[in-house]
Amino acid sequence: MSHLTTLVALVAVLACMVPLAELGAQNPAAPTTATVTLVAKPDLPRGAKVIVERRPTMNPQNVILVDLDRATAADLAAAVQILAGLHQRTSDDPNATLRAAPRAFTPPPDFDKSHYAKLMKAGLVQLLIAPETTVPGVGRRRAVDIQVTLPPGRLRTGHS
Amino acid sequence: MTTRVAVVGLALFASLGCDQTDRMSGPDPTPPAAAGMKPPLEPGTQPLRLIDLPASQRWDMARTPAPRFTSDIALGLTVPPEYQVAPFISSWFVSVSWSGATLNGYAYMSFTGNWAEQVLDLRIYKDGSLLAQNTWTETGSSVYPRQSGAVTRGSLNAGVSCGASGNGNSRHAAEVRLFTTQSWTTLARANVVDTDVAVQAKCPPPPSCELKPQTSVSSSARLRAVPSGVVTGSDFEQCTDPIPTPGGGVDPGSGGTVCYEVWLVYPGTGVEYYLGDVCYGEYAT
Repeated sequence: MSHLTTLVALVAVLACMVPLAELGAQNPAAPTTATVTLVAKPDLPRGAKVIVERRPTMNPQNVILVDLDRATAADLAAAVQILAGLHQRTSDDPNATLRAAPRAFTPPPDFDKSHYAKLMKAGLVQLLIAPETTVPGVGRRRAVDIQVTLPPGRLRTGHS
Repeated sequence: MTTRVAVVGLALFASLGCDQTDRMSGPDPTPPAAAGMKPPLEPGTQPLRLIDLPASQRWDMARTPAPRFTSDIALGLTVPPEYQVAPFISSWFVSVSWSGATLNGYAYMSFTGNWAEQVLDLRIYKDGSLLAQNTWTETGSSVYPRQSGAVTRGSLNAGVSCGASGNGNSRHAAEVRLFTTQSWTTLARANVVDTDVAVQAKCPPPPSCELKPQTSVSSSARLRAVPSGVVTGSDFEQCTDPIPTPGGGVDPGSGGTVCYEVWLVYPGTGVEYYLGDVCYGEYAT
């Protein structure tokens, strides 16, 4: 049991060290586009309005679970931003599934009136009218694929 | 005494066995005693897809009641209480985005009313020229004024994969209509409009085809290797079409800073292991 504990702790330390190591990066990653599957799911754990999953060994790989009763365009924008952050954790086990939920999001000042905010709203609307389908690992839910540009940025340790 | 009494519904339809179910958007919550007819759709338009709104997009009538008509309004009608709700559009937008050479557009509104019209207009421009254009006009209705969402979708393809601009325009209208003894009467109307633009990735510059070994030219032609001095026009062959730069850059309004909690999920079991808090975004250097 103590070996398992040590192993888990080692994995955690390694995983957490990656963003620390990337703090010194001088050039933020260039924007890339990605296909993201939005999945409607009420009553998300820990009271989250959106949850992001990067699942390299499953299809779809990029999943955002959305509580349609509570999520807003800003929540979806935060989820896309998280996905960009998860994609930068290049030193993680490439096959590891990571799950993340936003704690705090500060959108750009012009977000509310932006083209990007409309894209996020359109994503929510598409999910609202999407038919149910079976999403591996999630179940039978309304789901829709959207194309997003992952904004460039850099990782740093938490404490917003 | 010429008070005109609004007749909503109708004995005529009751005799035909019509129920009071709104087939487009489900049963109305508070059916009045005499009612049962939806305003007709605009001839020549497609049906507007009405959807039930999730709580987050519903107008909170308890906190901020929508304006209401009083009875005996200017039209001289006696308006049943169920129709004394002013038409109201609480949120609306048009969103356009590119998927390869296809421009996709969504027009959306959440509104209160019993008749609505939504128009989506998509246009593709390149170098100032209009390459393609289409307009979708949709109308929908319900028996009673109620809160609904409405979605209109459209796609346009001009066969251009770089350097084009996609423009979306939308018009949204909601009305409260009442059937009188003679015809349908519009009690009031609300209108809004919106626009959006999505730009494709820039086209790369024309290829610079080298004229080896002596010099080079910037053109769409390539010189085959032949002995110097015997070059003719037929020795030039067309360069391949330029390949657009992938991606359209950063979307205006995207970015910001997000702080989040991360878990590692063990395959098979789904057991989570908390990795920590991370922030991601643009930071001053």
